[in-house]
This record gives sequence, structure tokens and C-alpha cells, in this order.
Amino acid sequence: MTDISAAGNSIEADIALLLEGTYPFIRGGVSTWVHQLINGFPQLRFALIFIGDRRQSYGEPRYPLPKNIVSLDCLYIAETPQLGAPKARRGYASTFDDIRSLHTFFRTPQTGMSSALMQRIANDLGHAAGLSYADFQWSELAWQQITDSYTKYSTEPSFLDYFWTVRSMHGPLFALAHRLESLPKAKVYHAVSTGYAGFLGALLHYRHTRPLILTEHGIYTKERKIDLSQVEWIRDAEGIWNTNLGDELSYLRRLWIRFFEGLGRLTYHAAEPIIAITEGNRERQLVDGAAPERLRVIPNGVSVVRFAPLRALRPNPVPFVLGLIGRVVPIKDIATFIRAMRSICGKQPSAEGWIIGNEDEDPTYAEDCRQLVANLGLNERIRFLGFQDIVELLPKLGLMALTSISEGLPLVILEGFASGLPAVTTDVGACRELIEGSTQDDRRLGTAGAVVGIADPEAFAEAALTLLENPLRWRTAQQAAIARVEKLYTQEALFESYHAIYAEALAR
Amino acid sequence: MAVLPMWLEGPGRGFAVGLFALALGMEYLALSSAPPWPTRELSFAIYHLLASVLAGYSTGRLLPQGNRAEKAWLVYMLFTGIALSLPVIGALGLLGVVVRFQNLAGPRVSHQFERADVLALPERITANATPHSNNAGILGILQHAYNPESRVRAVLATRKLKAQDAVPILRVALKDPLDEVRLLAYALLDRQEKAIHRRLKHQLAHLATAPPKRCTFLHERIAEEYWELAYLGLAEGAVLQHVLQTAHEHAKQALTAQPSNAPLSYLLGRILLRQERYREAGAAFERARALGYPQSSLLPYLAELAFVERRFDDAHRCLQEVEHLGFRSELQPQVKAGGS
Repeated sequence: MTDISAAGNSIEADIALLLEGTYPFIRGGVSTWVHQLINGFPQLRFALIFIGDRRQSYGEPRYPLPKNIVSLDCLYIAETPQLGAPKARRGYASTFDDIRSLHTFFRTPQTGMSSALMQRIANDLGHAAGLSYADFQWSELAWQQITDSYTKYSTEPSFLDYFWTVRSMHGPLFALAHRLESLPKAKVYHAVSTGYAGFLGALLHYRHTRPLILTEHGIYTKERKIDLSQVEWIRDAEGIWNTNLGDELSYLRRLWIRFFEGLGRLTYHAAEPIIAITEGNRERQLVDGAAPERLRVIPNGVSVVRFAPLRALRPNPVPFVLGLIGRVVPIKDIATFIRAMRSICGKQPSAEGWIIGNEDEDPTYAEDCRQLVANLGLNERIRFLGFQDIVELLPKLGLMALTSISEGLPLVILEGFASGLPAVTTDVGACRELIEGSTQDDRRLGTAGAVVGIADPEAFAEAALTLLENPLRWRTAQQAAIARVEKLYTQEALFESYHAIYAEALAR
Repeated sequence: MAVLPMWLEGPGRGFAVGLFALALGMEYLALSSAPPWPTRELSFAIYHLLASVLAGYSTGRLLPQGNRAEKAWLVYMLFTGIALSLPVIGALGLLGVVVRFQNLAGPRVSHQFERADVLALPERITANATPHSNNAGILGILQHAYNPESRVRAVLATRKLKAQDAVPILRVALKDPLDEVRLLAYALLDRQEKAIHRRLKHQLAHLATAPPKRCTFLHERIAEEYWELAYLGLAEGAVLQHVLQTAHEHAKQALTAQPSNAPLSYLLGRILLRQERYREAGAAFERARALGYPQSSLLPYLAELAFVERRFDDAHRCLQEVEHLGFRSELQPQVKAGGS
């Protein structure tokens, strides 16, 4: 491999990774991927820029930090700049004109946005002579813009709710801009999602004129849209003044969704290349405003060498143990897995379900899952094992279970395949491609398990029982799984792709 | 025949115009070389004052009725003051304003409101909030609409439906090819179920330490919550069987302590019917009837029971009684089909 490490005293790192709510403080598929990437390029210096909500939400790093990490900076979006007593101010007319243009772009993306505009905004944001946090909070022009927008666009009655929504929405952007100058300089910035990480990446790209690479595992904007449609902290206007006929989300929810869509568009505008891990995600990126010529698909890959020896450790017959390896959070829909286990245990009383993953990210949901286990009388059949070393665990499982309602290309499925474990998954993200194959050549390798619809515990149970009760079918699925991961989803292929991307970006 | 301008029509208007003409005459006298009395200045002041009062009053009277203040004398005084401060010009200006007002005023209509001190309230609410789309329409959109945005809106529209109508529609949406539709449907279903499970958690936690009377109440509530999961279609397959069995056990526990609880017997009957334990269900419904539970609620279930037990004459009779009682529009199709 050609040496791509950069030289230059003024540059503190080669690659700065922008990580929102993942590595190194949260365990999960994306974090594992990041850890794998850093270890895959020991000759490059990585700076980590972690973005979280508030300091007390995160403890110590969950991963041993590799030696080529030169710095770890943590930014918290709840930590907005401190202001003193309010002072009357006018604000800068040209800056607010630019902000108005930006919001017009958010409302009507087809009008397009110039890089020059974004450059000016990136330079002005957080600056006393541009758009300071104080200007946003107290200036006449800010007030005028908020009231104009409310009058023109809001379809719901409460100006108070609208005002405070705008305030709370923009605070994090100033929290990020405030720390820009203190962040390490890098030759290349690499954001691992859009959202706040992507926005910060865009600011850094325009301020320092350095390339920004974007890799999306899920689609941040889509996931925020689903979250925002059901969160209870947004109060929907009710009553006779509400012009919403009930077939669309409330204005404030739509405002929040458009905010995150806007952050996504800004990131796509600044980043090149824009990498998706599945073809489905690439198509979604196109719909969300990414330029087609900047898009690439680079699937995840795993170390087959690490997991292949586990195949010999599998017991015979196959144990009736289904393992769901993942964080105990709503998007993983652990509840459907628990309900499926109710059906499975009805037919196979000795079956067990193991839930292997951290429970502290959403303790309320974890408690709800435990309650559901109790309500369904499955206390003896379902075990919550917390975080475990999967190398030890994988040989003990009979089937990998995935009941998520949204996924990208789950690493855990690939790791299971490499260890010789078929999977039953929901039809989300790239799961169907992994189980059944994508291209004709890939499909010839066979079916590595089964795919069912989301939130369908009966179908999931039936598919799992079909595999576990039929050793020949299980063996065939195992062979397909091993063949697929060895051909298409290796770590080596992943590193080769990123080597080319980093080399090109570092040379810019 | 010349038609008078609108602002001249109506009672009292001619009189007001006459007064205004008199006011102008007074202004002329004030400014002309009329006999000064006792002095030129005093003569001017008196005639001008009279002219101003007449001009103020007459132009006030000429204002459209809707524009006159309740305290009309205030308008008259204001206009008088204007005419007083601007000899001749003030009066003519006021006339011009009044004419302009007439042009701006809308078509004259008779009073639309009847003034009353106390409004009589209706005896009962007659207006029903009609949803802008019904179940069949929403389901149709979900199943057939090509535009994905329409299907998203259809899912969101289920929030306005009753839970037992929304859940089957959301289950269809779970199979939609578009990710966003599926996830929205999932979120709405999850919200329904979460609410029930949270209540169950609270009740089950109290059950362990509650005194006997409270326990009975809790058993009844827990049975209702589990039944709700089944009734709304939030549980299926083996989970449904488990939920029904748990509901049955809690209902039986509550009934043991309160054997003359009619609603509880009715609930038990519904649970047993769903579990296909027909004889026991029949006994529970009969007990509820004996305890005075309303016929209107019992008859549809008795009809269903009779139908599955192939007692078609009894089923027919029950449905005829339902029609006779005449209720619950959602049962109309079944009632009409069975009764005929």
C-alpha cells in the first residue's frame, strides 16, 4: 500500500473524525466500524471530535484508543456560549440577509445555494462582527426575522411555542461554532453522519478550506424524522384555531424535521465524496439533495480471520438459542424479539433468547422490555446479558436475530456470518441483500437465513423455527453466509476503498 | 326621475341635509357684512358658533348608522369642534368625509343579530365532529395510492381515528414498500401499546402490596388492560393467547371477590368468547344479563355465540332485537344482513 501519511508541522492531524453520539463513548455498530477504520490505518494521525448532548451523559471511553489517535475533543450541544446581561443591539443587516437566503434554500431547496453564501455564513457564525450568539438572542434584526417568518409561514397559533422552538433549535449551532477555533486542525475532515457532526464538518470545510468526507451508516435525517413524529416533548396545537386537518404533522414538528433536513443539505453541499454503505441509502441521499457525482457505495467489511476459527467450536446439534446482539434501544425493536420468543417457546419450550447489548443508553426502554418479558411469562427463557465479548458468545448461539425497524448494513450480521451463524432479520436497510444476495452472482451463493417484515413476531418465530428445526436447511444457510461474507464483505476490501479515498483527499 | 344618492335616503337624512344647508347659511352671515351685533367680532362669533353646531350635528347624523358611536353626542361635539376651528372649510371638509364614508360603507343590510341578555343553551350537543376522511378512505389510500406522500399522510390521519379502527389500518401500513410509511405506522402502534404496558406496570407493582379490597379493583383493571391489548389487535398469535389467558385469570380473581359485578361478568364473557370457550362465555353473558347488564351491549355477543354454535334461529332473533333497540351504527351492516 502506498504511504499516504501527510507531512506538515502546521497540521495537527491527518484525518479529523467528526462523531455524533458514537465512538468512543457509545458501543454499537458504527463505533465498531470507526474503531476498525482507525486501526486499519496506523500510519495516519486521527483526531477525534466527539459531539454529545451534555457532559454528564457520557462516562469513560468504551474502546481502548489506538496509538494513532492524537487528540480527543468533546463538544456538547447543550453548552451554549455564556452571555451576560441582555444588551440592545441592531445586528448586521448583510449577515441577516444571508441567513434569510439560507432559510429560503431550506424551504425551497430547488432554488439552490451558492458556496460563497455558505462561506460567508461559516465565517460569520459565532463572530462578534458577524452573527454572534448575543445577536441571535437579542438583536432587532433577529427579532424581525423570527416574527416575519412566524407571520408568513406558521400555521399554528402559539408564537410563544414558535419563538422558543427557534431559540432551542439554533442554540446547539452556536455551541459548535463557539468551539471552532479551539479544535485541532486537520488535512481532511471526515464526518460519520450528517446532523450536528456534518454541520460542524461543513463549517470546518469552509473555514479552513479543507476537504470534507461524509460516510453515512443510517440516514440521519430519516431517523430524526421518525423520532420527531412521535416525541412527546413537542406539544401539538389543539383546538379550533388549529388549521391542521390531522393528516400531517404539526407545524413545529415539521419545523424541527426541516431543521435537520437543512443540516443534511448543508453537509451534502460541502462534502465530497459522500459515501453510503448500501445502494438503498445512496438512493435516499439523492432524494435528500446529494449531488449524484459525489456519491459512492462502500459496504461494511469484517475480519474473517478473526471469526472463522469459531466455526469449529459450534456444537452439534445446533442449540435452540437465538441471540440478539445490539443496544437495548427502541430502534432495535427488542419488544418484537421478545414477542417472537413467546411463540417460539410455545412450540419449543427449551428455546432461549439472549439479548446481548448495553442497556444504559435508554434505561426506560430497557425497563419496558424487562416488564414485557415478565408480562409474557418469559423470565426463565429470556436473558439480558449486557455487553459481552461476541467472540466467546457467537459459538453458543443457534441463530442470529435482528428485529430492528431501521438499519444500515449491520456489522453484527456479517460477524455472525463469518463465524458460521445464519440470521433471521427484519427487512430493513441492507438485510435482504445480506441474507438473499443482491446481484445475480451473489444470489447464487444461496440464502443465509430468512427475512421477515418489521413488527411481525409471528412471522419471525415461524422463520426461526423453520431453520432451527431443520438441520439440513440450517447447514445450507450457514454455507451461504460464509460464502457471502468471504466474497463481498471483507475488511480488506473496506480498507482498500478508504485508502483510495483518503489518498485523494489528502492530496487536495 | 332622478335617483337620490344612497346616503340621502332613509329617515332623518333630509332633515340633516337641511340643517347642514342652514349651517352654511349661518357661516355666510358670519362672514358677510350683516348687521354687527353688538360688535362685528361678537356677531361673527355667534353666527359662526351656531353654524359649527349645526354643521357638526348634521354631518354626525349623516354618518352611516354602523359608523356612529354609541355615544353619538361625542361625534357631534368632535365635528362641531372641527367646524368651529376651520370656518367654512371645516364644515365642507366634514361633508366630504361623510360622503366618502358612504362610498366605503358596504351594502346596507338589516341587523343580523338579535340582541338578548341570556342565551338559551341547547339541551344536548347536536353537532358531531366529522373526520375529514373515514376508515375505508384511509385504507384505500394506503393500499392503492401511488404517491408515497399520500400514504404518509394517510398514516398520520389515523391519529384522528378510534384506536380499534386505527390499529388494523396501521398493520397494513407496516407492510408498505416505503420505509417512512412503515416506520411511522410502527411509531403510532408502539405509542398505543406503550401506554397500556405502562399502566399495567403500575398496577402490577401495586398488586403485590395492596389490601384485599384494592386487590380486587386492581385485578379488574389489569384484566381490562390485557383485554384492551387483545381487543385493539395489538397482540397476535401466541402473544394473543397469553394475553387472553392472563386477562381471564385476573377477571376470575376479581369475580371471586365480587360475584355480582355485572360489567366484570360481561368482560369475562368477551374474553372467553375470544378464547373460543363458548359454553363458558355463554354462562358469563347470562350471568351479566341476570345482574342487569344492558341488553344493547349483550345482544351482539349473544348473536355471535349463537352463530358459532350453529343456533341460527337464536342468532337471527338476537339480531332482530338489536335492530329493534336501534343502536350503534357500526353494527348496522351486520344487523341488516342478519335481520333480513
